[in-house]
Amino acid sequence: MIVRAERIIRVTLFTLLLAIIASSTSAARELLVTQGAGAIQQAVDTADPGDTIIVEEGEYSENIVIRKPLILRSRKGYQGTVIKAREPSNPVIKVDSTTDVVISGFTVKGSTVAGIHIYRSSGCKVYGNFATDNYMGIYLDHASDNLVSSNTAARNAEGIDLYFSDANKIVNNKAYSNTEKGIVLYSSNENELIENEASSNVWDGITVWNSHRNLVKDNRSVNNTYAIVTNTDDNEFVGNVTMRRLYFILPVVLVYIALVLYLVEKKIFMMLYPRASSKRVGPKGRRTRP
Amino acid sequence: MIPLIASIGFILAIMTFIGGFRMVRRADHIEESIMHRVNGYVTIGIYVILALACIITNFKPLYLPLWVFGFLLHYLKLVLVKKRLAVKYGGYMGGILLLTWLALIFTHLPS
Repeated sequence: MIVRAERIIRVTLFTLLLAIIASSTSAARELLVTQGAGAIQQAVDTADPGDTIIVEEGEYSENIVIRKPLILRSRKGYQGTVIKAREPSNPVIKVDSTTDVVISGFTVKGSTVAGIHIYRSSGCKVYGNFATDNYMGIYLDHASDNLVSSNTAARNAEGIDLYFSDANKIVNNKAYSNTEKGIVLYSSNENELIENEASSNVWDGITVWNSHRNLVKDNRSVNNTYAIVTNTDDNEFVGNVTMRRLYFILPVVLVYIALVLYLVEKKIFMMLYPRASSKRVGPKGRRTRP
Repeated sequence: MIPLIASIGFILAIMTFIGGFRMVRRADHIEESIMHRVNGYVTIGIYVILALACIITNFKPLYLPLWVFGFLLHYLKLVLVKKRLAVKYGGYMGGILLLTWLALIFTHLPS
């Protein structure tokens, strides 16, 4: 009798488990967003955790806040899907105190805070985005264990910023033409910066400041005022390619100086050797070869 | 100090290069010939000073053959001019010397 009861309980529990798994997998929905005021935020609000929000091509004016695990991606990539900050004093997309959010395929611009702001979140993936005309392109703020890959941050003040953020992977991103710095780690530890490119930023290509045990590997820092700047000595820098702006400017300046000096020197020598510098003149005033 | 010496050498190498080209085109201007000669010898002098400064301040046995090779390039230019082969090969040699000086600047810029 007891054995039979046990068997019934086991079968019931197994069925219940199957039902839970089935319900959890079938719950993930896909929501399609087309252009409209606040359309993306509405979709975010109505979505359940684990849902995918697919955004159609177009220009959107919003400040999106995500507080649950979601996949937010564009249908056709960042070129045609632009989100501009409706209120410039807020981030264009903010992931706030949650986990496992995916943001992919957007152009985010026009914020005086950040294009994409990951705040106190973990397990998030940010890839294939283009952040421009913000104060910070992509900003990880007290965020850990996130992946930021294949993004481009251009013409912001700072391209990609990590602030008190640990154990994140920053891989294969481009940060160029930012008015201050390309990639910045501030008080952030044990992050991996791999195969990124920081070029033509006004100040530093890559800054690792008050940060420890980070791996900075196979990055390219070209044509910045300073290539890689750090004030700590326990980070690992391996295989990075650096070339400062001075390398491009200096030869040009020196050639210019050489041209000017050549003309000055020639004048001096013409004064020193007046007879020698007299030119042979042909019958119609044309110079002839000797 | 070393980057400054390298920069002065590069400037003089360019001035010599310009002078050499003008001499090939207009052999009747003696003052340019003298200028070219003076610039060339001063460039070699600066090269020697730079090499000595680098060897004294930061001696690395591996770099010694490179310094000697650079000097031989300058010497080869002198030999070509003395043998009156400068019109034919001087341009190439001048170009190689300019690249040598560019490499010297880049390798001695402060990091």
